[in-house]
Amino acid sequence: MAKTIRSETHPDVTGFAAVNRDVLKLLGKPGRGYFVLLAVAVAGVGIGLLAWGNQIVTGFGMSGLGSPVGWGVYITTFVFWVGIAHSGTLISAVLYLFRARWRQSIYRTAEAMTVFAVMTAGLFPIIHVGRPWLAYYLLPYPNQRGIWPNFRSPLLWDVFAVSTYFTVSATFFLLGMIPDIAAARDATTVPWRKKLYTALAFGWRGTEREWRHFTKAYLYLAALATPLVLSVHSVVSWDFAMSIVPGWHTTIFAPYFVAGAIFSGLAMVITLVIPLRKVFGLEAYFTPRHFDAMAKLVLVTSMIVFYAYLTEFFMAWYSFETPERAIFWNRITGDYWWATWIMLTCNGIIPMLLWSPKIRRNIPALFTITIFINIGMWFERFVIIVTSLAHEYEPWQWRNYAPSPTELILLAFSFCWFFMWFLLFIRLLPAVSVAELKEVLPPPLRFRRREARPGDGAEAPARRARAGEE
Amino acid sequence: MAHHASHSELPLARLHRLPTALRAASPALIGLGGIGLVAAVLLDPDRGWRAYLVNWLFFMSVAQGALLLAAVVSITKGLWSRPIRRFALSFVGFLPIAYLAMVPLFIAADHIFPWIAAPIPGKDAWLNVPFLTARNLILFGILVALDLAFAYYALRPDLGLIRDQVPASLRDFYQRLTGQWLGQEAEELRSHRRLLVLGPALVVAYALAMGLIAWDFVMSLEPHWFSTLIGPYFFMGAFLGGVMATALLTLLYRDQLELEHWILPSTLHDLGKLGFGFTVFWGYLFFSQYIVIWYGLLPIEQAFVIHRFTEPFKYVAQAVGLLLFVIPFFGLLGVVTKRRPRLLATLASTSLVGLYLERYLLVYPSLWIGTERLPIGWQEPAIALFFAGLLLLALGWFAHRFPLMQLWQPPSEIELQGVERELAPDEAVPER
Repeated sequence: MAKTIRSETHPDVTGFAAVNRDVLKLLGKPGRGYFVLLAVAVAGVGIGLLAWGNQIVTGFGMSGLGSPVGWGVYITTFVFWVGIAHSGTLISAVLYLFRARWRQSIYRTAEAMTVFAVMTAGLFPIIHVGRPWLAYYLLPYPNQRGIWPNFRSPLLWDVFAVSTYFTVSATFFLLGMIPDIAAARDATTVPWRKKLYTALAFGWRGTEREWRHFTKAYLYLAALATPLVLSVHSVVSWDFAMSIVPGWHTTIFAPYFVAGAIFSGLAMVITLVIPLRKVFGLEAYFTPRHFDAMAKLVLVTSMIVFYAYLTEFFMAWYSFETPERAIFWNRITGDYWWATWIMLTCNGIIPMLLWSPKIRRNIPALFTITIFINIGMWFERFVIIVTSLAHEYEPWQWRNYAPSPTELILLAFSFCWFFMWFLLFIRLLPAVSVAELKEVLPPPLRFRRREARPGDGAEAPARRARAGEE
Repeated sequence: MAHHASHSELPLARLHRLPTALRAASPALIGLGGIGLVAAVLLDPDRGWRAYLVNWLFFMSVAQGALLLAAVVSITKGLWSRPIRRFALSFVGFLPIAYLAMVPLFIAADHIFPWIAAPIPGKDAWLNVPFLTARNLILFGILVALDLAFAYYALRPDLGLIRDQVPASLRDFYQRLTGQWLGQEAEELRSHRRLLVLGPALVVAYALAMGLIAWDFVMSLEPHWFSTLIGPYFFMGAFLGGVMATALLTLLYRDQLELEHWILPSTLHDLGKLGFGFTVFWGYLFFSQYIVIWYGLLPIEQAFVIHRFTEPFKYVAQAVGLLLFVIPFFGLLGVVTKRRPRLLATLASTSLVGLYLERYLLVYPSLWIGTERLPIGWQEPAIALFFAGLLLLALGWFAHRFPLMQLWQPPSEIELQGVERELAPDEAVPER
């Protein structure tokens, strides 16, 4: 072993000082490219708001929705973004509980993504209801109308599920950042930043007592957030599965949606982190090892999703129920065959490339594959929603649906809105966890470090014996 | 490689310290249960073979679930599992037996599958005995072959390490298993590479084969009923059984072989967490399937649930809810129960009894629709004794031959331990 001990997960990060320098550099003055991107995102948000305003003023006819396809791009986009939101909690809470150490440099970005993705998703039911000023009808409170929302409606469960998820993931996100924000607070000289960080650091001084409470709180929040990873998208899936629309009413939906959500969320994390690492020179922090680990998770979830697709096709055939069979036959051969095949190819077939360790560590290849996955997962929701509604029980009712320009603009708007927040985030808050990164680095010592002894590797049980008798 | 230095420290434990009563147990159980099985089949073939199916499903699930656990901790490089992963692996001996024990199910298919006497028009493309036999024997055969190959490569480096220390009676056996020996380091590297392929292959085959078994041996018993979730529900339940059975076996060996210094409360804690987590996950899958059927109000789907939630089977359903979910959930929620061997063993046994009843509930109500008396008698426990004897035989066979703790370490885990060492170098570990 060399003289300087290096971290196994981050061999190129030299020490604590480097972490502070590299991570807080993100908060410094950005290049011109950053402002160009931000301007594009803000412009996109502006155009989207105009389109939405136009839809409100002109009427919901601006969308392509109607009978029988009453759910289209808006709900597809809603489900897509809720799905994207899943990786954050998975990486920060579930992998934390599983003691998967490679999560350390990734999880902050993933958590931020979660919060912004929920913020994006939350807009779409409001856009979809057509009269957004009445959206508060969804909230259950005793009012003078004497009307309560229908508690047996899965749509209402959704309100609870998504808002709970937003609350918990935002709390988790802000709580986990406290020590880092305190570091930024102490480093910054810009007055408004100082104010912002002082507020968000909640008076953190880094005493031992504070760390102890912080660690406890983090563990408990992780444990509380873990069931949410399962529950949120399960409830979203039940928006569909509770009805008896063929292609929607199927028992596998909850776990299948959850797996799909984690699949798409992880793909999105990879898609976002690759440019981030390139632009800010963070290659030492996001190493091929991290991408390898994430790609493996993508592969696993891809196989779960693909298993669910195939099970659905098999079960439609096996059921001998005419509507079930018709809908699945229609999916692969009907008017929307292209959407179905995009879904099957992007989510089931292309990710199989990740079996190769070389591809898992090849950054450009990974970037391309995850883009395909993002596309595929959007189309998955489109296929589920639109093909089933367009082809329900009564043949005289069948009618195809094509998204209107307004809907497509609002789809683009969702990406701009998401990226706007994300771009603001990487400038305002530490996008990589300074405190947790330092945990995986060899700490600076007052004395010269002892050479690693031969046989250390096999000492685990003995050391365990010491450590376990706490 | 430096890590060989500590081999002498690790216990090369075999079961010679186990009480003779336990050793004598497996032939006695097989004999007694075998008589019960023959009697049950001769007196009432329908009842006998259906009881056989329930017991086969349960014991196969548990053993296969434990193998999945061994594969998963190897894939995920779960360092915590090092002291216990061999216990999970030791269920492998039962799987060839389970494979052979599957064959009578096809021979006695007339007594089990209702769609033979009353074929469903159109569905006979899938529901016919030759195809049923072929697809299950092939797919489950692939799974068992992968189980054996996985176990072989997981064991092989250790066999070479200790082949000179084993008793004379095992010499030949070890020589045969370590044929074409490449040398310790090369063998470890080769095993590591093989396991990198075999582990994921085993997981994929597990999902496919166990999913198929759920379709054929559970879903098709009510031939009009279908549920896309039944496969995952069935095989994740099996995994839960595997985790709980591994915990139980760990506690037994820990006690009998005095492994307290190797299997620490923290390891039991981790096993308990896994058991808790998959108990919750089982509950989640149950609920996911149930709520869709309940809400949909479709007669074709609800029949399956109604057959289980009405007299007389509803008492079994309540027991399953209690034993497989409520008690383990609240029991394993805290820290204390996970770290105390007695409590953990109690909860793991509770969960396994619950799983047995759950497998019963998956099969019997479909075959006794409209019955007024609950079909539980001497047949079911007698056949359970038979299978339990076979399982003990397989576990004993393994434990008498192979080291019960993994001695070698895959390179990827040594690498990971490097990380752990840096996380907690001796200098930085606070004294407690």
